[in-house]
Amino acid sequence: MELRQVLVVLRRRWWLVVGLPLVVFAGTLVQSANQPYTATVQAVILIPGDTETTGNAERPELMVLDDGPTLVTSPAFADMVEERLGSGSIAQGLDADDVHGALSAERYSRTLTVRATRADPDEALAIGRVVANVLPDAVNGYLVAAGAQPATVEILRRPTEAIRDLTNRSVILVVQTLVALVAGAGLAALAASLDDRLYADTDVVERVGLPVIGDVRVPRRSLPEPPWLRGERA
Amino acid sequence: MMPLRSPLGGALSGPAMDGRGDEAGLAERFRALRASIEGAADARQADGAPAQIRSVLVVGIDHGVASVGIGLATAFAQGQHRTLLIDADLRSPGSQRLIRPTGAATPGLAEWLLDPAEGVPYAAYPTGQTNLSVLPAGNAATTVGDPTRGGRLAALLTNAEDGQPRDRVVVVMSPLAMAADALLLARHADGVLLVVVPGRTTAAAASRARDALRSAGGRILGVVLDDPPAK
Repeated sequence: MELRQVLVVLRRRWWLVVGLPLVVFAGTLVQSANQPYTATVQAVILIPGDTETTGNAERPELMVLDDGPTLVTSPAFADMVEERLGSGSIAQGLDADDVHGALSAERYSRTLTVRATRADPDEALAIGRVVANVLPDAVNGYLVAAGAQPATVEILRRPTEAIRDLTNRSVILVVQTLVALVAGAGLAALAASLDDRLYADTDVVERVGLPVIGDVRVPRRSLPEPPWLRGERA
Repeated sequence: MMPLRSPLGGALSGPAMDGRGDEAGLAERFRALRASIEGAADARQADGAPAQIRSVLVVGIDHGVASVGIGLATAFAQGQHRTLLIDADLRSPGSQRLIRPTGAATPGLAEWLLDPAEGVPYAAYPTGQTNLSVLPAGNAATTVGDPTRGGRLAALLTNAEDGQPRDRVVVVMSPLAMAADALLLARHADGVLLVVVPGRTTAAAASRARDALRSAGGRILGVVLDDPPAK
């Protein structure tokens, strides 16, 4: 298919080529505007005692700390947080299931990062603050054996606000719009391939095999003739 | 649009000839169509086919083509050809409002076909356009049924005489999707114009019309592109 034919197809269904990216662009904007808020807690966890065995490459403390994210995302931890939320208006709107669904965690070396994510920034912040208070007790209660020396949990960052993560918003917006543009062009081409109607005289010649000997459609309004041409015709 | 008026007080719409606006452009397009048809006649003369195209059927696929017939007949008349325009679209009388002379009880093609007395001249009305007269569908259009029965209409194409010789006969037919009148008459005409509406007519429908007309013995001169019918 020649480039000219492709352009004719796209122009004929320009509303698909333009409309779909516009819709996706608007939808992405709306979606990013409704992105939830996140409050972040970072803590360093030090398992007591010398856990390094000479000649052994394994670090038992890190293996224990691997359970940190699992602990944070467990219903037991959610119950602890929910109990400590108190009786304020925010707490009244949250139950253990809400807290459980809001929490996520990841570990890197001895650092544990916990995120509390909610549509309401106040709720996210409230949960994050309680997590920072509850985390030391939870680590010692679930990751350290009874009677053993307790672990040290140092809070590196307490949440002061809940924010939206819009770092990749522009990139996502551009990529999704470009994908929609390509999809719109593809749909226009598909529609054209399924459309059996005749549009131009070349269509009649090529697809019906008859010559077009007349075009009596009402001409579109054209630019006014220059005065010298009107004078000549008069 | 400047109407062409007949002595009977009727109005016949056709492309204006005063050189103003879009109507002038439309008139030029019909003149170009006339030139194409006459050029097709010249081209056929070399192979022994009829030297001129005298009678032309104008037929659409699923829409009325009265406006195309009027424009072409007007262009022939302006080219100094004594022209008769026949509205044979009896299946959809609504289209004849374009060429039905105003006034009560205007007989036309339908009355002539129903008249048992053969040899009676039909009622062709002169118009305000020199060289152009019109035979409208008639008041009894819906009662005729098949306008081609008896061969009288076919005879009209080959011998369209009402006391005046004719150089050109333009016949507006019912759409092929509604009636087979054009197929029954096609072989009696010197040429057939197939009218297509871009953006509405499908290639399949146009191909079927082409095949049907050719099978009926019609000589398709070509395709004319027209606007969609007014709603």
